[in-house]
Amino acid sequence: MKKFCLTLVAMSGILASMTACTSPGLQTTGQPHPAHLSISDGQPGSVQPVNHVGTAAQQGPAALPPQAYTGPNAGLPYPAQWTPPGIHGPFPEDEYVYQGGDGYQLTNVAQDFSIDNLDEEDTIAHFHTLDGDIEIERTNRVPIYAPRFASTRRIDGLSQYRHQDHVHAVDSPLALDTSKNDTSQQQVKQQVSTQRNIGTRSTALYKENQKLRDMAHQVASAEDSQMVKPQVGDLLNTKVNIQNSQEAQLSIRQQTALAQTDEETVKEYAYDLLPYRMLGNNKVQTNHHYEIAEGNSRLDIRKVASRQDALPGELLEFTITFKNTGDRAIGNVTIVDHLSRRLAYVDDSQNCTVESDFFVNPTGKDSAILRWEIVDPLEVGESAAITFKCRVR
Amino acid sequence: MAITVLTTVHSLQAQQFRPAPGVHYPNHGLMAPGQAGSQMLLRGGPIPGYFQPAQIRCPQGGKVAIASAGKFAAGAPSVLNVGLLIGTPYRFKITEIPGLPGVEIFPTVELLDRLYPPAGLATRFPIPIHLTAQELRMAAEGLFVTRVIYLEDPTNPVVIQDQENRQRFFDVRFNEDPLRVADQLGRPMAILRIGSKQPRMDRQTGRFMFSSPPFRTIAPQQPSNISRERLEQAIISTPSIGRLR
Repeated sequence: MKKFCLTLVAMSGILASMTACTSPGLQTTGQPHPAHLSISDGQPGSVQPVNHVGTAAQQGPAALPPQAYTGPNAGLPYPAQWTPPGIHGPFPEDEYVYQGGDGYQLTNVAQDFSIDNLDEEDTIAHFHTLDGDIEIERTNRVPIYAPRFASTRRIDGLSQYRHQDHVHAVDSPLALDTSKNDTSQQQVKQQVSTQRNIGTRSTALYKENQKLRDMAHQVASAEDSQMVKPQVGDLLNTKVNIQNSQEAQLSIRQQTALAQTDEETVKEYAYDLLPYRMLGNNKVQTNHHYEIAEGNSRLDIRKVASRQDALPGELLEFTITFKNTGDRAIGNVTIVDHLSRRLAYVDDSQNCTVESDFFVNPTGKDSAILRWEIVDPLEVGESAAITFKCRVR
Repeated sequence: MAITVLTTVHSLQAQQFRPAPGVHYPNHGLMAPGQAGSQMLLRGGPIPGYFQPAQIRCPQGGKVAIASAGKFAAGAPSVLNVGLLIGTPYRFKITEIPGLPGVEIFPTVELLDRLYPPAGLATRFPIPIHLTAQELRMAAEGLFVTRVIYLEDPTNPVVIQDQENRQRFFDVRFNEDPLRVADQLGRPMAILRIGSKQPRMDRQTGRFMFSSPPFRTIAPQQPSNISRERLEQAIISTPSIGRLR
């Protein structure tokens, strides 16, 4: 535990000795003997390490140069905005309130305009095409950093903690009563190995004789090459009687046999002739060509918030813009926004740039569904905007 | 006799902190300060060395101070914003409590986790740790209050309007672990312990102040001269909207 505290304290010394701070306006301080950090000039954001006191601190990581530290994050303080490697976007999700999009279940709209699977935080638009079909468009998802805290509480009386104090104060009654003194055996057996070796001596004369005979047989075998057999028929039966005068003739015939049995392989090789100079890499680029057939009805809808972060109690203003980007007029345009339970709609705060009917439908979960029914059809290229305010719970 | 008391209390604790089926809870809210936080440090991640901003708030009129360099610094009126290390217990001192003249309370705060705010917003979103006058009064009378502050799950929030100067809380039963209940409702962030323990200063070990671990002071935000109503009216201005194709 003591080592752990020293490590923590020393690591904080490294953190403070670097210029990078986790947050603006932060100053580090602590007790002087292990922490070695204090405020010297009182200026906001200034951190100045104090000289180390004591041998333990000089041997700790605080005395090392930053590049020598191999602890977490290579000695650098983790930034406030940190995301795990490979994860992009808002992290972690439990600190954000989302609004917009069509999450969880895909929303369906029936011909009688009844909506199914409109989840919390969803924002969609549906409209009628000239063909009589109902199309659904989803907005983008707007993340708003708005963490909210609560707490659980437990109150304990003093009597219960007396019991706990007793537990911590009771000594262990398992003391050692008797002790056994085991005397080990003091007699040691030493095994004595045999000190005499019996050597075998071979007969030197017999060895020489054997060597000579082997050598003669070895020469005969070498001369009796299989490659010689097809060419020198008269030597087949005289392999043990070859004289020294015949060795020259035999070697010539042996060479002949070698030359005739050598396999001649193809000596030509094909080389890949690469250009020694690259003048350009003319590859065909990927082209995407979209052909939009005429007669399509499309609606482009987007949603933005006035702030990307909010504390409980603050106001947010949302703006939903939509535009007919098709080549035909669309009708019965309806914008539906299911608010998160963290957002409370501010009464009479909505505004639409085109004539519309506005409804607030409460749900069973204390959230609200806002609905705008655009009265007139939306002509080609026509756009409109809806604004409304919410208070963050 | 001692073994009997030991067995009885251990069986009582085993009943209190029995984990839920299928879930193992190695920590509980009534552990000694620093134990649960140090377990969080062992799990790794971007937690060691990060100073998480926290806001300690006591009743209006009181003063709150943090242990620094073996003593308590000058108390800040009502609200103290500090950056605290995670897993390390800190000792605070509450004085000039309204309705309790001359009473000093020394609560402890232990952070269990950190936030990951967007760049530049770390001090705007501290972990709020509020001490109510009722809790301070109970502590002065000899009770022990354990509070576990947790980050609420946004997909299952309590639908009430939060106030800036009052932290929402609810009491758990006497046989429930507040840390485990908080874990079921969100992400536990801090443990606040308020008791009536008075300091017995030990210069050798500094156990009462937990060796005064380092912290970071946060520059107080300048109060705005603009009223909240005017600020809310200013929000009405239409933000920049992406260009439609």
